[in-house]
Amino acid sequence: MKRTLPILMIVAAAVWCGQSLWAGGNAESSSSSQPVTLSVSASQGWIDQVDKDIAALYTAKTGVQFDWQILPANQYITVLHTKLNAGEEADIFLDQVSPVTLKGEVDPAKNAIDLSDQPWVARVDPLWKPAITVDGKVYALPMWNSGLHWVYTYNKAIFAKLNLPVPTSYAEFKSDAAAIKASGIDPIYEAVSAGWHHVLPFAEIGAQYEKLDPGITEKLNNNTATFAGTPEFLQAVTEIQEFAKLGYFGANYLSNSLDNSYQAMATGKAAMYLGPMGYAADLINRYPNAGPLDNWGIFVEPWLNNQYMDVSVGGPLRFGYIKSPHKKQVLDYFAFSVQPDNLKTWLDKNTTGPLSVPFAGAPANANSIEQVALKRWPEGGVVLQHRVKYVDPQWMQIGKDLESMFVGTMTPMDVLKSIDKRRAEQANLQSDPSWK
Amino acid sequence: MKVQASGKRKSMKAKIYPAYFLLGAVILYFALYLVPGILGIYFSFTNWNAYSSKMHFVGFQNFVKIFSIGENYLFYIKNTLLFTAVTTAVKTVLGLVFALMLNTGIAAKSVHRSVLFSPVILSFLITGIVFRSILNPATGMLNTILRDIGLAPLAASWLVDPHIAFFSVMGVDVWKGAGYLMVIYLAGLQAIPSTYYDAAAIDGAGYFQRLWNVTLPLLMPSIVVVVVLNILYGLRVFDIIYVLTNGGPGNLTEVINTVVFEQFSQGAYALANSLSTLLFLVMAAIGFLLIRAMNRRIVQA
Repeated sequence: MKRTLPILMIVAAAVWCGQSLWAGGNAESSSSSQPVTLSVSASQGWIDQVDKDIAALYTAKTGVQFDWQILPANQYITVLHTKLNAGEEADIFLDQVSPVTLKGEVDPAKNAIDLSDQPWVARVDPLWKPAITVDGKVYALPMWNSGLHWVYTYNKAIFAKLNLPVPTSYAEFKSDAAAIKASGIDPIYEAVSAGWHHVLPFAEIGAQYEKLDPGITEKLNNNTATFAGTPEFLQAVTEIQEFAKLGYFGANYLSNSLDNSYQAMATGKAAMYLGPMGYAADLINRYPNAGPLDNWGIFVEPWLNNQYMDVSVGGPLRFGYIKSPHKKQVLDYFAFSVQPDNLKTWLDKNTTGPLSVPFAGAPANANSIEQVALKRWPEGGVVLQHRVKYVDPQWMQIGKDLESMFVGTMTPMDVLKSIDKRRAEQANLQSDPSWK
Repeated sequence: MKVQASGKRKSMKAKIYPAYFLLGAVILYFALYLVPGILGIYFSFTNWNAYSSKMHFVGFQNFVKIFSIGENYLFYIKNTLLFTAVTTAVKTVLGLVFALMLNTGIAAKSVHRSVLFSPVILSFLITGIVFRSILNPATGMLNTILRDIGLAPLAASWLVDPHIAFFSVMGVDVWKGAGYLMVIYLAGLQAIPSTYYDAAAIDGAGYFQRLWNVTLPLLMPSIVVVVVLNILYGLRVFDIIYVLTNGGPGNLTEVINTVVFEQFSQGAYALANSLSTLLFLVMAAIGFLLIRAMNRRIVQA
């Protein structure tokens, strides 16, 4: 008896634990009168306060509560993939997707609720449909800035003082930068330590690559061309390297932090910054003395003589988790959040300053300098990472390669070969027939 | 007499807890350590990845890739070993020096000990944020002080200069870890009876003779613990590099575990497991050989 009692206690504890877990796992089904809480998992920066405000409106209307599970940006994707593989994701999850990454990134048929029959699907901008559709079925809610253009915001006073033209070619860009540097000001504020920002000059000129080498997108996606074998990519990376070598990114571009761009730009220590279209308004919001808005101008990235305003057709989009016990509430909340009045609220109050959302009838939100830029540079096409497969998932690795190039341990050609190598690895992992 | 001894044995036996009291610990250890460990080794021989629900046995394919010339993995292994060797050596010596200095004969030794131990209680995240700020080339405290005292040529890009970034990381790691080793050494030093020192002093032994012939041999158990702990920590290092340089500039400060993390986030789970398996084997071998060798020396001493 002395020996059997402890064993019986352990067994009893195990059975109790098991029952508790079982009861917890089925809490929803066993007590439908309990208030529903929708869990939402996202990376830092993907959920704005306005998202929570709209969710609060939904809570007031339906009683459905929200549990926001926000993770650091450099950990989120790993955790998301792990949880999806383990079969225990939040009711709603966000993931960075585009037409060429949706299937591989989320495997929506296995992980996401089919949204094809939702009434709002008919209102989605046709350009964005490929980013949310796999095999004819819609899986994501594209509640994201559809006017995300990465452009150079520049200090007009510095340009006027030095009598510099707005650059329309790489040569002009370079001579402007030389003059600005000679005046003791950092031409461009760059922050390599962030890991991702310095990849933008390479990737956000997708339309220009296509113009210079027609069909390159298709050739890359069919594996009949490589980055290393395409002179335009080599030229672009070489230009970026040249700016770094000439000191046009400033003396401390490797250790600068992105947050300090506002201070550098507002105080005139730097003359240009590659940011999203709403950057100038954001800058004035943080540093009112940097206003008015007309002190600032916008031009598209002149790398490789680009004169196109590239557009993103993807971003951190919202998915309903296929195993969620609250599918009805998820669908209802999605429909609620894209009602016209809520879309207007989302655009007006979003602190990241989105220009528009990809829904028919949604108002555009461009301010005066953005309107001027949009008029001068019409949209030329989709950014590289949203048109070429296996680029977006290796964004941070490309950032490391470019950093290696800046410190002299890689050449521009090494960077491109490295991109090709990782693309082949990703393609093989995903059993892409073009890489067989 | 025989009856007495037998009774004593019986009462001793009754005082020992029954073996099944181990059951809880064994089950937890088996479920939380052994099973995941063994599964990890198994996965390293597969092509498990985030993009396919099917998993196939691929033999040594992942290990062949790790040791291929065209890959960078050998460089990351070399970095891991370099980090381990340098930080173990410096921390072991520095910790011992601190312990010897703060063992006896110093005023306010508790304050000094607390100051030296305090970095240990800081989280790696806080340490990373603080030192990224201190070592910032433009606004950091270190360069500012160097410039202010007329040593501007010594100001450097501590965390992004390819020639010194890795040593800066090692320096921060030593700063954070030496206090912990000091405490282990202090415990060892205080266990050495003062009579040995008295006897040595009577024999005319000076400070260094006493250190060499009394302190170090009797401190050997502590040294073994410190060296083994440091080597195993060094081989597993991740946090301090992740928060300070994230493997940069470029890949120059990458070590095995930062690459494991990177491969995992890329969905190459099998390759990540292969690297972990390799690390486990190296750690097990080094740990085993080291403890065996040092135990032999302790016995000899």
